[in-house]
Amino acid sequence: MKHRGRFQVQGKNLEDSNSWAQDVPLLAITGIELLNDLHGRLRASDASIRSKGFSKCRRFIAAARENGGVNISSMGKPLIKSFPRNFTERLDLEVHLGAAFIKE
Amino acid sequence: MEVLAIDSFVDSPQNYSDLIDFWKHTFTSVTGLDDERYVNNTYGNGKDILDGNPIFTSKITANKGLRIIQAEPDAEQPVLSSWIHQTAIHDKPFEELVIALQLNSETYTETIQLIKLYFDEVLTPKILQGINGKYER
Repeated sequence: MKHRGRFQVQGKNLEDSNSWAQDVPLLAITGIELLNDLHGRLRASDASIRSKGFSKCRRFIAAARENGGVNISSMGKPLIKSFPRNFTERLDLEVHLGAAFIKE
Repeated sequence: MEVLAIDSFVDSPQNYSDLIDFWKHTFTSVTGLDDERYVNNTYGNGKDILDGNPIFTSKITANKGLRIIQAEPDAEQPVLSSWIHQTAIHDKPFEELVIALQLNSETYTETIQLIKLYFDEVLTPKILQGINGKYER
């Protein structure tokens, strides 16, 4: 697959993710949907302590959408962002290959 | 080494550039290595993402690295949190020490200590927990 990445939540008793691996670039709106789906799947307490991190991640995707998304070539460096609540509870975003968060 | 007293840097290219140089200098002083960035932080149009997430990355070995996330002062955000993260670079396993901080003299001292311990391969979960515990809310 030419376009790969994932959203992942980690915690003391939690590990869950939504990833993508596809032949076409990931649209920003699809990225938001994957992120929202992951947020909605968490228990209320896990979702609550990460709410600011999820908001920041959504804002990043929106900003990326206005700036050509992100684009990782085959030998390029990945994009990795973390949105921690503390040292155990956090949200990570990784784009490993291809284009993501582009305009519809 | 003295801490660089810059609080505001998001979308301030000069301050951001000064902070990158500061972290490069810190990394090289602590490890003796030249920095080798392994994370991309640019948009698809080539514009740099000046968000501090991360402000600095460098490989330490082929499969191990350091990622520093710096936030502007924010009472609702962790002052310092650090963890070991397992990821992949070009489909090969890659381990990184991640340090998320608001920069002040105390967090800077802790960061130098963490980098030294990780570089010397003596950073244990107990030590990490002890440092994180000081900043837990």
